[in-house]
Amino acid sequence: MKRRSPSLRRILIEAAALVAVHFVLLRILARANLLEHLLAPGADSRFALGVTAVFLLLRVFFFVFVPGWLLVRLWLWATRIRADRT
Amino acid sequence: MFSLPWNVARWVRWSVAVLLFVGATAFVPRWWCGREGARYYTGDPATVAALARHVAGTMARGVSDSDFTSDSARFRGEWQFGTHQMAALGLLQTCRQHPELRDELRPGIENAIAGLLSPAVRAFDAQSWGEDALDSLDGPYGHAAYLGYLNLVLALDRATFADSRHTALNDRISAALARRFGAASHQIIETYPGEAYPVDNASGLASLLLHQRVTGIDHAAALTGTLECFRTRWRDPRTGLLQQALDHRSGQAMDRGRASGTALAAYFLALADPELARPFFRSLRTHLAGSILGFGYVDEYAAGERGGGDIDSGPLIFGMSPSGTGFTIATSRVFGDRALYVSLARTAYLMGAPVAQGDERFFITGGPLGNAILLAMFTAQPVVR
Repeated sequence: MKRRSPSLRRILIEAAALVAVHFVLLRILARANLLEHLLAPGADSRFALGVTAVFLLLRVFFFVFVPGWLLVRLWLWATRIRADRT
Repeated sequence: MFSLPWNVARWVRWSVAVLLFVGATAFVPRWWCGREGARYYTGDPATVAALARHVAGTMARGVSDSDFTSDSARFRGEWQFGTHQMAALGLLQTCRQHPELRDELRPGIENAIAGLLSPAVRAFDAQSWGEDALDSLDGPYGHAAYLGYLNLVLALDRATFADSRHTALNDRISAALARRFGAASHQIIETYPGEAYPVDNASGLASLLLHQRVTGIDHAAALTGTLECFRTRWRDPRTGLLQQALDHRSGQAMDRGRASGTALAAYFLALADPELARPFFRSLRTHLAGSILGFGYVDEYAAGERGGGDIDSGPLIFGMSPSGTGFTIATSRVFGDRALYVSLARTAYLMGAPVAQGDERFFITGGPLGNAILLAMFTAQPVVR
């Protein structure tokens, strides 16, 4: 079965959702002292380290890979009609 | 209208997609994440002031032992001390570069110095030695970290403010440190009983060089041997990095040259004598600095050497040193290496996650210590009178 190309609306909503998740996490984590857990973890640091790791992975993905990923999705969407016709 | 065969069109479409992804990944993140670093490099007043306000605010609210998470009381004490020291240095450097901020930031500097002098912050050193560093200035024991780091702040305060309230204490500590350097059998003063670290001695040495320049009091005779050690004996023969730890009885190296110690020592020395610090910066640049997609990093160990992370370096990520990376920002600014500075600042932006809150800006993964360190590193500059 051929997979349908995502609509422009879906592409933009997914990009906006990533921005929103990142922004909300940023605001939540602004209240925690994370470097101390990273550099000198104590007995209570496991949860903070896990949250930090998830946040930093999301942030690396968001800043490093999302711009290219979004551009590619928009390009594929913009050229999908011609590609579908051919 | 001209149209391509479907398989050619598909090939072109996906080739362009790959090029777009590679191009965007290569250029967009380095541009976006490097904007703030470029502003710190030039000392943009609004950018620097926002971080400085946050650090000054932290000093006003106070930093206690409970702000830190290590299970070791000594490390918690060291970090509390380090937070006050870096905050004071960062705020003083900001005042030197932006005199218009002096009135606003000086209370933060006084709060940081008051914190450094408080019994609670002195306790980590006093517990290790069994005596208080300031009450035993006439005694023989080292207290290299506490006295050296504190005295560097006091000397910089004196160099910055003609009406510094700490000149008498600066004179007393300088006299004690000079006497201890002069008497040290291997030119190194102990940090704790039986423990000697060149990086801690770098802060004491820098404080005396600064004190000498500001007051005209000559410490040359006491410092000649230690200066020579920083130029030759304490440098790794292959890489030129500063040895991380020494046996104070024999003067022999107990650890290799590493990024965390070298970069922090280079920052301290560059404040007082950039030419003394320059070889360390060259070694960091040549042997340890690298970049991925424009995001700079500094390895903890030179190529061909293996080792783990510790309290000095932080956890190593594929050999990259969080502390070494952060501390090298300072000397890249002092020595005008804009490309390295901005690349390291990109990494700080990516991993530090800065946010604005009112007229302040801070790094959310930094906490009190990380933000104080970054202010000091971003605003590093030699003291020129």
